[in-house]
Amino acid sequence: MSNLVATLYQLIEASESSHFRCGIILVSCKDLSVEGLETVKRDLAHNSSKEEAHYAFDQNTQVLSIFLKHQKLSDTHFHALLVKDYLQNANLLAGSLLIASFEECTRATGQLLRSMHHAVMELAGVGEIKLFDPQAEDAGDSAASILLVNHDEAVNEFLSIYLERKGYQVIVANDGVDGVQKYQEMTPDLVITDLNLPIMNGYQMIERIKHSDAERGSKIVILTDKRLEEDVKKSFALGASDYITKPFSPVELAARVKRLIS
Amino acid sequence: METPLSFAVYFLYFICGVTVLGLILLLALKLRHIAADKQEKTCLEKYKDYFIYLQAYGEEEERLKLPPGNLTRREKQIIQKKLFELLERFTGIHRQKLIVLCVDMGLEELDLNRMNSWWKWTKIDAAFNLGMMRSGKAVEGLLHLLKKSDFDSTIFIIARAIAKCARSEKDLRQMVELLAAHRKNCHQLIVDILGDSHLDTGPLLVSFLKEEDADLIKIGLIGLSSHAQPNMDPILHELVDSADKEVRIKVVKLLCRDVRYLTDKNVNLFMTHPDWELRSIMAKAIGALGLSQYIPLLKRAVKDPHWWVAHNSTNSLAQLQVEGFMALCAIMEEEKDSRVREMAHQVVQKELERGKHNLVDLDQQISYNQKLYFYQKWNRKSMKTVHALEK
Amino acid sequence: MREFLLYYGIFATYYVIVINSLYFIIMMFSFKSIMGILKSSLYSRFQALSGSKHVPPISILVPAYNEELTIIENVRSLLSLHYPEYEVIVVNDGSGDETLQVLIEEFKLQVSSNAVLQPVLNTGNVRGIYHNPAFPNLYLIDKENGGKADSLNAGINLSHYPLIASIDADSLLEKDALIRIARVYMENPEETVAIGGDIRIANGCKIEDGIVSEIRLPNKFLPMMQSVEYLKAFLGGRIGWSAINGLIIVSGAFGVFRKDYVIKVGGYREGYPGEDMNIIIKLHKYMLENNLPYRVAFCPDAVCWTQAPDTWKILGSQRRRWGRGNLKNMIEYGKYMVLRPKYKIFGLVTLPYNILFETLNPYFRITGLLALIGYTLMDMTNVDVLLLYGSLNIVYGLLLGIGALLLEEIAFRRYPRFQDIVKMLFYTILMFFGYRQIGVVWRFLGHIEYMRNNNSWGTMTRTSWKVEENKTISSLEVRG
Repeated sequence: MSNLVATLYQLIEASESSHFRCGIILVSCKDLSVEGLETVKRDLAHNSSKEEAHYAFDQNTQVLSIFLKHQKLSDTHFHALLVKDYLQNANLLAGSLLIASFEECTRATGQLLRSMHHAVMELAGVGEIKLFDPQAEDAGDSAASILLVNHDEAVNEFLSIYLERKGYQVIVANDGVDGVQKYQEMTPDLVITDLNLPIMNGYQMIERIKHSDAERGSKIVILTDKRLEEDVKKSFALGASDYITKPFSPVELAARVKRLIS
Repeated sequence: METPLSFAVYFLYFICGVTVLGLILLLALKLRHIAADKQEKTCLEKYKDYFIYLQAYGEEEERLKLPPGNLTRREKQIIQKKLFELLERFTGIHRQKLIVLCVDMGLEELDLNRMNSWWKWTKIDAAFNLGMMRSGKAVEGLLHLLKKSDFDSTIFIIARAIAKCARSEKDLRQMVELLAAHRKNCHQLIVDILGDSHLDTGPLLVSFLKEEDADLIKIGLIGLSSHAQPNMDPILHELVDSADKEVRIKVVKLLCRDVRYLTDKNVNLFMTHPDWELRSIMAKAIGALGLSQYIPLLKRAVKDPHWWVAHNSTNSLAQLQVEGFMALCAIMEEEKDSRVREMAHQVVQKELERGKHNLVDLDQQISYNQKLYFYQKWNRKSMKTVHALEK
Repeated sequence: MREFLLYYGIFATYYVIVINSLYFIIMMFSFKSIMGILKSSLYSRFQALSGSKHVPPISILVPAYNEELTIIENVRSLLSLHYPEYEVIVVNDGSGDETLQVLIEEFKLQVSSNAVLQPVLNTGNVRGIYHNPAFPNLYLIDKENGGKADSLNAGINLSHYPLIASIDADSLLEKDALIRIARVYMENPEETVAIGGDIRIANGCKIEDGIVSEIRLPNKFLPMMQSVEYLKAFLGGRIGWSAINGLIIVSGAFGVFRKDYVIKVGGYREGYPGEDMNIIIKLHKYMLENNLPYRVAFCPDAVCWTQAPDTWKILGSQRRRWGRGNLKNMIEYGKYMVLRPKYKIFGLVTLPYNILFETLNPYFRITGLLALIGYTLMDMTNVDVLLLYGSLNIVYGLLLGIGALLLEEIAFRRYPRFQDIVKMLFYTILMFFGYRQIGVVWRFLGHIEYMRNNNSWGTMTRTSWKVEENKTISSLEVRG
């Protein structure tokens, strides 16, 4: 198992300076022969000639690792898309992909690499791309949880991707009733909700939530299309902590969420 | 066959033909739509990971990368649809980056070309797309299209696109003027459309107030009611005397949103204005803004012949804390007209009832108790009078 | 005798050609405006609009008579519409069941002695108005039984907003139906006096928590027939009629009106069916007589789902009622307005079309068919005349049905599966074997009922919903 980690470690050590960022992609593959690995290398290098990449394959665990010099997480992620496409077409993909990026590659300690290696083998599904967050690894699983109640699927999808990247645990509910139910199951630290919800509208849901546990009192942020003054007034009267109208700036939303949770 | 029916027979053949044509068209269309849906589904599935990538890195400095592989035109359009879904929900850097991505994909170019199509609906499609991409290059073409279009629902699609693309106040102004020229009174919608622009529309709205055209003035007034601008009083005061009643109403509504505009002179003027609408707006505003100094005015307005003025005045008195409430009690005591007394009585009851349920803080509680005290005092007094009369 | 039968048959044949051709022309108008409808519904951002400050507030009026089973779910559903500012006014029209009690209990309503009822329209005695500050935009009026029109009038008296929407208590509005209609209104608020929504049959659909979650065609025969019928009437007919501003009806099940004009024409007429057609005729009349520019619009993308009657008995009573209401409206207003140039398209086209081809339809069609059958029986060699009559009816009917399906396929595509189209086509043809004929008979019976009632002048029985005893029927009308 440490075969792969050792190889990666060597790559980092071998660099003349350790102050560059690097990206790492780990992916479970079908068995690759040495020639097979060479073909993969050649074809992938052909697809994306710009980046400097190193490939290693661990026979025991059948994990392919790709080490990308000077790559940020976004580029690493994009590279992973190409890798996945290629492996899928070549019928070599056996599991999911795990990607990580380090500001300075010396931060990729053996400990982290090992847990990453371990994580990629644990991943369920085929062809899913997951992010490996070194910080979360340090912090354990005390991530703040956010309940997202919105009928708008595009917003739900985006915010769960976006906020999960920021290190929060995100739970999604599609309507008011679902929202109350999930709230009672999870008691999140923060609720982001729309006011236009089917079955039970946002106000009714907030009242229910406030009613169900008065002493805990999760913070509530409204994210809605409603721009009427009465709605703003009423929301704050019901105990909302913030009111954001759509279209919204995700950066601003994240900042407000951060302030409310910390 | 008899001659009178031969036409009917031919006609039957004719409609049989048309029916067969229609049937073929219908089935072909259905199959095409089903195929298109399927294609869209596979395409979205294919680029699922790519969309996750897009959504995860929307706030980093460098550009988002183009989708991998060679895209067909159809695939581009499906991706465009998905991108629009995202970018219409965002402001700030996320939207900016997605727009740049659209341009990088060549979508702006494509739609700019489609604006030159002969086919009206292609132009409308393109106009909408360009609006979503906030393409400054498209404004000229869009304005031209708007100018040439007849009044129907589609001109609002074009107008919204212009609002989104507008590079300067001038573009917006031209758009508004073109819409207003249809004289359809869709002022609210126009103001809503203006709200889609990323420019500050305040100065534009103020400049509309100085126009001759009543439609533009109304658009300005509606827009400014949620968009207060400094130094408007001279213009507004001039407009109070406008010949157009709707303008007068809107001006007073606007003035009544801000205490600073409400000088003694103004309040007196509006409360005695011949238009009942103005009186009723003013009466309502006194309560909403809590201007207790005008209680005497309201007391007089309660007797206004117009129902709404009287109604708003009584309700405003109820909003003016204990003093207003006392005035209501006084009306119940002094007023001769039973209708007015009845109205005041209703409001007093409502106020007392409301107080019973809604006692959030101490201030409210104190004020409620005071009101109750006055009411009971008044009640005893009037009961005495009743008794006295009975004796 | 034979001669006469033949000539009458020939007349009936040409009548069929003309009536269908006129319908066809109207449908062409629908085709002309369908792309505009498609694009503006596709490219209007209803989500954003549903939070805008510039959308006019609407009062939704829900007359309810014996609706204890469904009213809670429907009110809940109405309270979570996507619309910036609106109120729901439920009017309990002296129900004999627990409608009032279940509402009061569910929403913890209390008698609100101070609610302002502006007496702009005369109504039956109002027993009480209920409200709960926790549901600020819900009101309940309890009044003595007076019929649907009376309930609507009472709702108007309480309503606080300039637009009113009338909605049947057993219908389900799609969440964005109201904002879609508001979009149409906002484009021309001064001239738009009424806007109708599209009515579709909910039988067979999966409904969860007051939302139609899966759209399917009905399984039963009668609802399926009505599905096809509604599609044809609403898409083929009403879009076209509204394009030439000749719309004669906005469904009682879902329509939005400008309150000021409804009040100016005296509100809804009490005590007779067909109040939904009546109000539109009155609006046309008022606007034309006062020379005001106006339009009665139709918004086919605003959808209201309704339960169609699934027994012959209930359907029959509904159709007889329509027949009765139609005849009454035509007699009362027809004689003043028909073919008067002053009433423009409405007087010159809509009304004559309605009288000749809707009201009198049963007489011509049935007698024509009978005449030709009689003629054929006398001489079996002439069977081809009868065949010609029959096939003209069927083929033309099929053509119009295909037209409506095409419109649906171009703009709405609510039924995504291929088999749905085939099924609808099949029923379009099937309609001509029995269903249509029975419909004609019902209409005829409705006319007879009307005549009978009117003979006893002055002692006309007050027809309220109670007499109809049909809980599941909406008083909407299907016609071009």
